[in-house]
Amino acid sequence: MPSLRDMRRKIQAVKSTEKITNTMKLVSAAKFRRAQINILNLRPYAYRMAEVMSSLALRAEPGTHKLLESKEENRILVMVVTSDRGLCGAFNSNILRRFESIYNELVGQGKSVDIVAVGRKARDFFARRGQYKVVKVFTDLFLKNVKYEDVCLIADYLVEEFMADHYDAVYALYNEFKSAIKQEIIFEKLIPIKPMEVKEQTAKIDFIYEPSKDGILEELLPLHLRTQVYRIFLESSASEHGARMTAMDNATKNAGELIRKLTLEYNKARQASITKELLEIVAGAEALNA
Amino acid sequence: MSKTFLFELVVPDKLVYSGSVEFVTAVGGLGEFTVLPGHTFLLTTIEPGIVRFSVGGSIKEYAVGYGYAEVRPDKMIMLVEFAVTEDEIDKSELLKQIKESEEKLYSSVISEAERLAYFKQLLRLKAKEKLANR
Repeated sequence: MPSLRDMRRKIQAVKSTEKITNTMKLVSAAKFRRAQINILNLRPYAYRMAEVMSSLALRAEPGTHKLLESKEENRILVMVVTSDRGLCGAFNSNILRRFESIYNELVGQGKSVDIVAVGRKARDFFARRGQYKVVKVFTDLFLKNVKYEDVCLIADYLVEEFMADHYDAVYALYNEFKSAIKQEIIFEKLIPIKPMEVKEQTAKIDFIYEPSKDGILEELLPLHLRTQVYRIFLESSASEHGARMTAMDNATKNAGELIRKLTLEYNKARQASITKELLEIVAGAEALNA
Repeated sequence: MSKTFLFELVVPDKLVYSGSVEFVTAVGGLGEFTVLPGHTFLLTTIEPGIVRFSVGGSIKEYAVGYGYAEVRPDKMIMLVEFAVTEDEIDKSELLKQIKESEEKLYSSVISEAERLAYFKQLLRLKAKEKLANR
């Protein structure tokens, strides 16, 4: 039986933890709102871009651009996107666990898989486990708002690696933002760009291209990839803040519950000691009277 | 045929404008062009310059950077690096930036790729300047 003083101390400790998690929740909520606005604003741009890309890719002659040509995928580069900070629930462990299963599957098929690690959590994870080949690490993207310049750097790196024929395909593994409490892990092919399926009636329309079909393609492809990478990072960022907000909300609730329980226990113990003292007094008095 | 069409001007971090317009004039890869309702399908690059469009008779103007535009008979989508109105431009800051990039552009120690990048940057700034000096 812990002493009353120990119990009081424990309640106090849980209370201060609750205060911290509650504050983190509020901070995350503010960051989450901003991140949510960012991703929701970018989506029309990114989706529109993807739509135009797909219609272009559909109409372009084979051999137009290397980035459009699918080939047998033996050498794969995977960009794994995690957060830089922890305390966001299962956000990072989910994606890393998913990565391991994808990795094992791909390697089982005889493919070679290299990794681009994005975020400190991915870096640390791969550093702890030696068997993965990490070719590049990018960290500290998510500490503040995601910067487009950083995104361009990473997107261009991926394109260069592909164009230099080091890899047959580039994939991205990331959390897609659904809502504050829901993220979905997406494993998506970035390069080569697949022409998406276009509805029958739009497929037959002949566009005018200015200055030229190939000229546009040359400009559009890198821009498209930068935009997609940017979208992926913003998705991940919004998911991260949402996950942290939810995790901290749960932590706060749990702390509140724990405080309630501990307080009850403390009150019981206090009452028990009072009762015990009373009994002793009464028993003593009885003994004198007898 | 309707007298307006839907125009959307988008930059990477926001939707700048979305709504019905009577016409849009912009600078494309082959020079300035104007889109009216019922325009044929067109895909064009956008060069730094001024985009003008008419909303219910009033003209709106934005200085834009590189990008491209997709035109359909009833809709036009323009995706550019940036789009700013005259009010958003800080003239003195802009002049400073133009001077800086001109200096860099004409310095002899840079590579061709860098020169091109500075040249493009200068064109972006000039587009803003053109709008600011209206």
